[in-house]
Amino acid sequence: MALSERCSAVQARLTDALFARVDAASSDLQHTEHCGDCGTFARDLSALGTALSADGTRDASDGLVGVTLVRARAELSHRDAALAAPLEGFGREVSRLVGLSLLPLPIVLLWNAAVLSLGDQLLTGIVPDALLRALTAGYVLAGTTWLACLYGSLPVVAHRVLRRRSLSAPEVAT
Amino acid sequence: MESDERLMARLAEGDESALGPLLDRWRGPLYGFLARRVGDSDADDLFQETWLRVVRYRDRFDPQRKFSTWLFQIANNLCRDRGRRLEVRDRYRRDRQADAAGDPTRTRPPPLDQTLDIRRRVAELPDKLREVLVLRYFRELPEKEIARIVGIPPGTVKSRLHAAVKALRAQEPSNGTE
Repeated sequence: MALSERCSAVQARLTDALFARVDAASSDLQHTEHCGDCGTFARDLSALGTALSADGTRDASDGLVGVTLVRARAELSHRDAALAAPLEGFGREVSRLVGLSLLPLPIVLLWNAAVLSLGDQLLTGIVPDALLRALTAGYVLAGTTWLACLYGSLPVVAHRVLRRRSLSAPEVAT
Repeated sequence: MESDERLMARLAEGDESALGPLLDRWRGPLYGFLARRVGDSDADDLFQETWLRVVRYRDRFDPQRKFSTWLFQIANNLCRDRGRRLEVRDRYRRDRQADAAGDPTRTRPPPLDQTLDIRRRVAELPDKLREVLVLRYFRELPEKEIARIVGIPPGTVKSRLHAAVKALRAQEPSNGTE
């Protein structure tokens, strides 16, 4: 059965009082004395509060704190050392990335050559030669810029990969 | 006494000696939170992982914010990650519970006030409800701070608290609704 608006409001206030750890309003308590649903709710809530309060404080064991401190200090010194140390294998990582990115390059170049050739065939005679040359030059420039950005970013990517690898958490026996 | 935020600032500068006092100050509250969120068996691991992240991401701490909010945010996120990992297992368990609920030979659980095993009941709450309940009741944090830690509006914190009470009152743990 759905609760009346008043009962819902009373139960909400009783719940708020439980979490705020304050006494419920006297008018709400009076209501619980005359309302079956709210009376049951208040009794359950009281039992719940008692049970929750009885679940005492818990603390980490000294052993756990000690191990945590050792691991955290190891992490701290490892990170500082890793940040200060020069990155090893930078050239190798760049070469690897360049190698990977060169694999699809022929397809990309062929595709763009095909687009230029097709565009030239379709537009010759329709648009003025000067405009066609400008469109072709613009396309080539955009493609070249894109490739330059891609290959130019590879050292940055290699640096990030190596830095992340060097900062990964150290293994500490626990 | 040096504030938590000042200790964190020192830690961010690489001062190792700031770690001990911070850990000492927050070991109880953090462990209590984790134990109630994930149970004693996993609390140890998450306790260590929380502090490792505090150290690892110390540069990201904003000294304008409360350290405790940041600490419990990290811990709560770890609990959520763990929850997601266990989701498949939990779903299987829930299915089994649903099957058992349909079994007429299964006895009804006794009333709340007779055998209230509060740890079990809290542990069986849906994660969304348990996180706000633990932070509000056991950590006694205000709803606004819980909202910041959990990343939800304060009104939702309140509605989840009410839903948690409903679920705890119910004889069978209910699914969290808002």
